[in-house]
Amino acid sequence: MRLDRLFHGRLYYGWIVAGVTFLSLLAAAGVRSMPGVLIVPLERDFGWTRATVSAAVSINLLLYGFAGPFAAALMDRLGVRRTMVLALAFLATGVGMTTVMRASWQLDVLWGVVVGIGTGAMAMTLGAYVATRWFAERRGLVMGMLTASSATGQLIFLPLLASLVVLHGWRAATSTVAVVALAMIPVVAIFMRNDPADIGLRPLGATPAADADPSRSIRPPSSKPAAPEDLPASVQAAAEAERPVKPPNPAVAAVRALSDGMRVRDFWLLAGSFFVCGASTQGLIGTHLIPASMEHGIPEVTAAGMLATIGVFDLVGTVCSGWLTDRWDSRYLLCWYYALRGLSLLFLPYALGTSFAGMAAFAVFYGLDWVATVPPTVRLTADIFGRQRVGIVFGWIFASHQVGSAIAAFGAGAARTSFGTYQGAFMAAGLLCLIASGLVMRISPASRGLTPPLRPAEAGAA
Amino acid sequence: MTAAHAAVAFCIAAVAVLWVDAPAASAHALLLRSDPPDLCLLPGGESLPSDALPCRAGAVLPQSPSTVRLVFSEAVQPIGRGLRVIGPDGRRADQGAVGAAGSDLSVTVDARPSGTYRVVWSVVSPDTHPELGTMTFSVRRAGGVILEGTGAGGAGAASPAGGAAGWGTALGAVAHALHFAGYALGFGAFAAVWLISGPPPSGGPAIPQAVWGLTGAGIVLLLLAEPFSFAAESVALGAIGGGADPAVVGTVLDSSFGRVLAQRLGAAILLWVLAAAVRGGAPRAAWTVLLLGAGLAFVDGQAAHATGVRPLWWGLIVNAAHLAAMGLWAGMLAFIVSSRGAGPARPSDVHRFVAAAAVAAVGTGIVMAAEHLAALRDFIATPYGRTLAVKAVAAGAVGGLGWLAARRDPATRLHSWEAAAMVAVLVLAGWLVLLRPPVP
Repeated sequence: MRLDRLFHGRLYYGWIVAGVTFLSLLAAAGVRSMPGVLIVPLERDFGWTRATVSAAVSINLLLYGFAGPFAAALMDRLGVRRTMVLALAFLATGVGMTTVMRASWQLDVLWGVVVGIGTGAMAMTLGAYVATRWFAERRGLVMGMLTASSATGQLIFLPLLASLVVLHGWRAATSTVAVVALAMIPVVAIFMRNDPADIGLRPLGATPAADADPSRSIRPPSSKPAAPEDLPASVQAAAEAERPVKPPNPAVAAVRALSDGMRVRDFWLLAGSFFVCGASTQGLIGTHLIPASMEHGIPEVTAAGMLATIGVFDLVGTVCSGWLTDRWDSRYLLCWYYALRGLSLLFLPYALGTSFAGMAAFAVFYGLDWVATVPPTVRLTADIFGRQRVGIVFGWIFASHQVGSAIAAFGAGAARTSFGTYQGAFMAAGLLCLIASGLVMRISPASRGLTPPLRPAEAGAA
Repeated sequence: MTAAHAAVAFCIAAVAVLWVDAPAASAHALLLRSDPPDLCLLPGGESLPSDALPCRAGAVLPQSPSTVRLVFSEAVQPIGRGLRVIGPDGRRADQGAVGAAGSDLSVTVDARPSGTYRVVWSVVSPDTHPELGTMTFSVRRAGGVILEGTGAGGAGAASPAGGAAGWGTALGAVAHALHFAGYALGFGAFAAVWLISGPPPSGGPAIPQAVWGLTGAGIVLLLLAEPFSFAAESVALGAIGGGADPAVVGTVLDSSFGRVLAQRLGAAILLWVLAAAVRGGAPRAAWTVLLLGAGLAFVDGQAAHATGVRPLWWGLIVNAAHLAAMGLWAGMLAFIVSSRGAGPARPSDVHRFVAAAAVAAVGTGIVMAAEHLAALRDFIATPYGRTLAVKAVAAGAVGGLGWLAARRDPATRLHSWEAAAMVAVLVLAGWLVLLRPPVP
């Protein structure tokens, strides 16, 4: 039975594929959102310290980031469907087995390594891969959808998970999530396809010329898809003439892109600022806002609701940011975003001490800023490194984001354990954001987004 | 010259205020009462001399108390453990966690052995100043090692703010002086030059190159001041000296002091960001630097004596205005000295600007003196008053030298002396923040 034949002619099958990817990313996002609600219950149940639990979260965030550039390699080798099934199996196993663990090293292995690898393969890379393979037009829309499911899904499940933890205990919450991940496996196995060519289709909106390059590079979320007619004739001809038999080894390409990038000063500025971005979003607030709120007398479900509010406003903020990126200098945008974020972190202790209004204001404000840094950063990366390489280079910049979040997650936990308060962590993160605000202003002026993209050598010399 | 007329009228009004007895509540936390009662404590927060008998043995209770409770005049943040009780055998008698509820501190004690006990507390007030103190009480009879001890550390209530250790005071004075100097160089110079030049004409930037050097130096000083400030607070709380206890460091960060520290560091970094932005390509954004300077002046008010003035907004506004005027005055002076006498505009404009800034600084200073001094004789009678008097004389010297320099050309040597006197003013201002005013 060929399911795709059922839809043939009525609905482009790529939408089904996108839908399945959307659901899987949502499930993975649900898994990633768990640490925040689990920290305090795990501490109470096992008597672990904040630093111990944060260490596992930190390993998870690290692997989640570094799996990115290599996940594409896996998808090329095994195919997207098999990769997704494997990843979901990893997730279900890792999360499910936490219900029977006893020692903290088991938490490190299960949550840190297994779940970290599983979520790493189901990250933005997957979304970009699917969107690029199946869609030539509407690619931006699909990419936006899939990014939204990944980023927002992390936050909107939190109130549900928090109430599960409060009513039935943390094991009930982890079992539920494991079951959901398990349930996605047959869905993916049945409905997912690797490539439109497998079922005799072309990417949506693609003309025959666009089929030329099967190893087309991953497009960034915010840029519009380049219609084949826009490419200069020379590139089109070259693409047709080249028609590689086998794509270059993606793992090697990934590492080579990193070594090329490291020679450019702007790469370090972008990676550095994105490091701070990760530290201040996922690492600090995503992991520790719920425990910090509970220490100030805010109930767990309310705190989870605040993170969910951040998730909702982050959708608004990201859309606006994408719109702004097309109009204004990305450096100034990033400068504003990081400065505002730093200031709101410095005033968070006041908000925690006051009533609900302060926290609500913080949630709205911070939420608008949450993923807003992505479109300008991607734009700057594209301007510096060129459209062909932006996918891989941004993959590494995103890895830097995850390193930052890993260090912040563990660092804040360790600080809380030794100092007895989160104030030092909030303070340090706020000051780091202000420093990042100054760093992005030093990215070379050529990257205003209005000049033609430079190759790395030229950008380094500029 | 209408601005000068207004300033003179303001000064006369300020002098008149000096004779008005304005009651001021304290934002500096003082011990109000305790349970067991502290016989040594006098109303108003002062205490009897430490060798007086009520201070040595304290109240003699017929039965062992189960808790020790302290009530302060403001909400306090315990530092480290916050409250300790030492028994007549020299061992700790407090048990369990210290309960801190707003202005109340309490802890459970095991006070079964008879003898004299000593209670030691360390807290931070809402105005970021540390408060240390001890008291004694006895169970059934006086006796034990506490009574026989020569009263190391005294048995009185809080010593002058920040004065628990000489090191603490010295570090604190250095920290504040660095902060004021950094403020003047970082914000004051830029703001003064920008204000006097007017908004930049479309096209070229109106900020001379020399200003950026001063701004950079200001940022460095602002950043440098904070570690000194943190060290001063920790030393004053006795945190460092017996090793840096992370729990104490944590509670210091968690207090109002920690929040002000974070905001000051943030303001310095933000100045760095804004200066780069204005210099790099957005000259019209210069007003953001002025806004940040005003904001920092308000933040500083949280850690100053202004928190004791009622209404609070008035105290903060006057304090901020004083700081801003000082910044403009010292900043313009620094610019003139660094560019060797060549001002940013016509000399007469520069002189008028400096005069206006000086009058504003002196005027707000007089208002603040009126708020914190009870009568004119306090200028001689209290340490705060004496320091303020010397600071006023130094400020007068700056003004006088400036007036002389305006009539001389070239006047570089006079300007150097003027700058030296201004540095003295800043150091004295730093010292002044640490002293307890007669009307807190």
